[in-house]
Amino acid sequence: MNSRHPIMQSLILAKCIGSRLARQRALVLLAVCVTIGSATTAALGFLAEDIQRALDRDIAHFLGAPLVIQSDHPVDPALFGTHSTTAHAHTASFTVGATGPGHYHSVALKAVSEGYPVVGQVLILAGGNNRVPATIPERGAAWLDRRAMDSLGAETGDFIQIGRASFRVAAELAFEPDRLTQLQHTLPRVLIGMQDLPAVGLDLDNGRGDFRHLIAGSDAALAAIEAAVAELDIEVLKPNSGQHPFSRISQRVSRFLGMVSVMVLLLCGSACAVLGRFVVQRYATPAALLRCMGVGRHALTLALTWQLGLLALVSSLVGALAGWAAQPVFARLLEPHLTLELAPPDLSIVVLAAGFSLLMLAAFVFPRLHALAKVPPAAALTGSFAIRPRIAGTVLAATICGGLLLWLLSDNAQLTGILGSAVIIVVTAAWILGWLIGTLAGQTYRFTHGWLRIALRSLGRSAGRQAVPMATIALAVMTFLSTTMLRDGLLDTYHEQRFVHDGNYLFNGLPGDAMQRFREFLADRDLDLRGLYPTVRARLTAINDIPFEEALDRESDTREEARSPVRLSYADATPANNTLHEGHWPASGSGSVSVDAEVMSDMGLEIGDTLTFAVGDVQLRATISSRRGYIGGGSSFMFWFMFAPDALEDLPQEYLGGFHLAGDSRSTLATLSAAFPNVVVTELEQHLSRVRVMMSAISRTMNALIGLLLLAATMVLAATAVVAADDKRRTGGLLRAIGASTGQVRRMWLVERAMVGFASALIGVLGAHVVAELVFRYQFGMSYAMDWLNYMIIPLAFGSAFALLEHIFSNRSLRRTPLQALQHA
Amino acid sequence: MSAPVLIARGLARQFDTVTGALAILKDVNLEVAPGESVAIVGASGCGKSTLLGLLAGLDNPQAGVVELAGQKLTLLSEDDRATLRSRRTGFVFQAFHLLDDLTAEENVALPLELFGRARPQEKAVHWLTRLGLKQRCRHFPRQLSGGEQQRVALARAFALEPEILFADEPTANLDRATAAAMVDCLFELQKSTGAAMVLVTHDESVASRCDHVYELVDGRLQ
Repeated sequence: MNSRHPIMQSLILAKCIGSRLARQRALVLLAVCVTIGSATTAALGFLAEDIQRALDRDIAHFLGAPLVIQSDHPVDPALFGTHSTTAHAHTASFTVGATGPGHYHSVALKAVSEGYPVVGQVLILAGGNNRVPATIPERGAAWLDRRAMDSLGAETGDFIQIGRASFRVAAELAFEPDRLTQLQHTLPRVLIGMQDLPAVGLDLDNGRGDFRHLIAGSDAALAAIEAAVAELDIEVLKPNSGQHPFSRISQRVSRFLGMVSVMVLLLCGSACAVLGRFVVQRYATPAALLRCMGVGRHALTLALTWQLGLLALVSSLVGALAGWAAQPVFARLLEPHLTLELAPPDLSIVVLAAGFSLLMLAAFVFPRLHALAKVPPAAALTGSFAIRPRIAGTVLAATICGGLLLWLLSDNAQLTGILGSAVIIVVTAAWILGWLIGTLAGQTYRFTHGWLRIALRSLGRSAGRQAVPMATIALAVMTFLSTTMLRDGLLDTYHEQRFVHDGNYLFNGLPGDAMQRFREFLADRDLDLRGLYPTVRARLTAINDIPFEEALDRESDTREEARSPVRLSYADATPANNTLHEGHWPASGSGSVSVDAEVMSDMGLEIGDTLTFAVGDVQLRATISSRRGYIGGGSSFMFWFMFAPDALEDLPQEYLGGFHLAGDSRSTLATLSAAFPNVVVTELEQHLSRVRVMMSAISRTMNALIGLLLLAATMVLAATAVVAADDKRRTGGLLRAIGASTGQVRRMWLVERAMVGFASALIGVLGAHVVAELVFRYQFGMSYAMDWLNYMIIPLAFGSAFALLEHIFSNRSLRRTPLQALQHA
Repeated sequence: MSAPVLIARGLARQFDTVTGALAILKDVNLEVAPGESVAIVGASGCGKSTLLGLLAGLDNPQAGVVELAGQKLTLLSEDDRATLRSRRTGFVFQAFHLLDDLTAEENVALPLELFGRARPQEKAVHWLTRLGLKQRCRHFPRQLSGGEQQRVALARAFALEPEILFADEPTANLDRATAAAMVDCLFELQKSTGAAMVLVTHDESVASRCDHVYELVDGRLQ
């Protein structure tokens, strides 16, 4: 054999001992770990690409032009000049109530001018399902999308009432180039010509509309317009501006996916580390035998490398295939809020997935194989050896490669830093706690008796060996918990959109001067008004006299939200559902404001800071006098900024609130809509059902991702249990041979594993807390509060579960007779 | 004459193999009186260790009865057999089977601690001293030679003061000089404690020091 070329020799060897490898349970687990890691990398890679593509598409559609000028009031194009542009159109969008033959429903009404659309084509359905291009609806006609038709119970040819105007449904709207993205905007859509808008009777200057100029032209022309608009303090949107809300949605989605994929990889890597050590240890005796028979060291290392490399390649390809096959499942889960167009497999993702598996083996298995080849055969045969790879080099190489991979996957240095730090903290804590437990058990066992004494002593003596499984389990708990917390936190933001109010209908957009007439309208029809809140639309322009865009961090979500108009409100005293955390309620004539506590925290505001608002042309300057919270969280109307009544009573006001309407509501709502065209009425149940559908889709997708994590965490536990079971088989057999009952042996193991499980889970929970806190604060711009009960319940539950798992695994060896157990070991 | 401490009647054991059932033991009968030493010899693979496992209650026969200290093992549960082993028997394995994480003293004290005997450490040191290992009490198995490890295993077996000792080729892994010293220790302790002993060996000189020698041939004792 020695006469052959080493590579040929290694291939023959690999073939000879291949069948032995296939019988190893640990090796099968190793292959499964690599497959899961690879599948997750591929699945999330494909999904992130699909989502990004869908969002990019929606962003482009959302803008509908190379340059969009957006305002909450009509802007005269003469102010910025459109003479040098090649195309120009303007649109006005409102949320209004519409009444059809079947129902009343809130709809998104968009009026469009001649020249619309600037980018793409409007498509309507004609003659069945044929999509045909169209320009704009003719006078008195409206185009409705399918959801609007269903919501209003209308079909082509029917009439619908919007405000004071009646429209004939002329066609079904199939495609609208500058529609709002499906992910955010869920209202049914109605398109009319701009010439019909005055007939609806909406007040265009009350700041409730979305007015846009869609402009196309040369770069120079667009730049000139942009410069002109900048002086007018009007918002400009461009596809690459990155300021519109969809960029943030896109970023959040990709960050969450990146984080989940990093965490799954982390777990699979941990399981590989545990199993790799075990697998290589198992190679020791056959490797020593082969070397005694004259096989060269390098040929042996090469043979084992071939085998594990092949295993990694096959596993990763299977994983990548599984990841690609999972695409339709994710697409289905996200429907109808985001329509994914599934792309053909991207080779770079497959290469990345395969690279991941090779990296895991390169980091955790190959250095040990190399070290194994250096063990003298005699030492391996007598068992008096230890495999000591060059740990420092391996750890350094794995850290660098892993860090690069994480950065590639997450495309987010901050997230990588947070997770990397958390991993280092958790692993270090596991080592320290493992040492502490070992020392503690090693000292206290003397004060105990019987099986407990033996269990504690065993734990104390094996503290060094416990550190790896402890760190692995702690990582599994940390990743699983922190992802679950983030999932719950993200879903909570949707929960906060709920309005639980006494009435079953909510309204907004009631002009101040129509308030008395509105009260009378409701009273005449025996409708019970359950809440009425005065509001003033304003823009936050400065904090402590510094323009707010400069005063706030560019990445702050609050900064983005504060760009939109905010509703100011007022009251004589602290409202019933509010509570003052600090300071006093704004007094009349004091020029002060009470601010929501969370907003103050997000914006970094303190009591005594000054805020400047723009209400039309009026500048309103106020000093913060108190920090305010809400009783019952997001279950009522909430206002960020509240003043004393005299501060706002001279400014243009509108009201929002709720009323109760029993029985058949259609005719009443149609009359209300005609009498108050600006008032938008939303049925609470409709609103909640929309939120529920959205939550359900997001929840399903997140659950699927959590499922991947759970799978990886289970692999970690299985890996540690397999390694532990092998170690315990001999001990259990011997103890029983000298007279210990199975119950005693089982109790010893249960105590040992419960302590390890509890301590590991405790570290994991603390790690999850750190990760959730940092990720919530710095990645998602959300506040986070952990349920402290978790600190106790989860480790206890996990300790018990781990002990139970150990019980199940150990049962098999305890069912054997002591002689069989010893022989098997 | 007092009642035998160990009685085996019609013991049979077979194993399933790819070519069908392989009968290792067929109708084995044996009686061991208190204080008596019995050697079982035979060719490699004839089933000596299997028979010893059955006699000590470490394995279950497919047919036949083992009566140890007046109790029929086949009628006892696994835990009852374990209790009986802890009170009446000691076992010395060919591969020593010491626990790596425990010192020599702790290995010997292990069964004493497990069954709540008084002063386990003191007794462990006593037995190790008796076997010439006083200076090695705090050493771990990996720090001991093969002969020393086997003497620790012997001390562990005698620590519970068994009525009967089972020894499975205790000298197989030792060199000639060490093996001879080990055998001297074994017989000296057996005589001094008055324990019966069943010894499996293929060393004729060791077997000849026992009161009775049986050869296992074709699954039967002769």
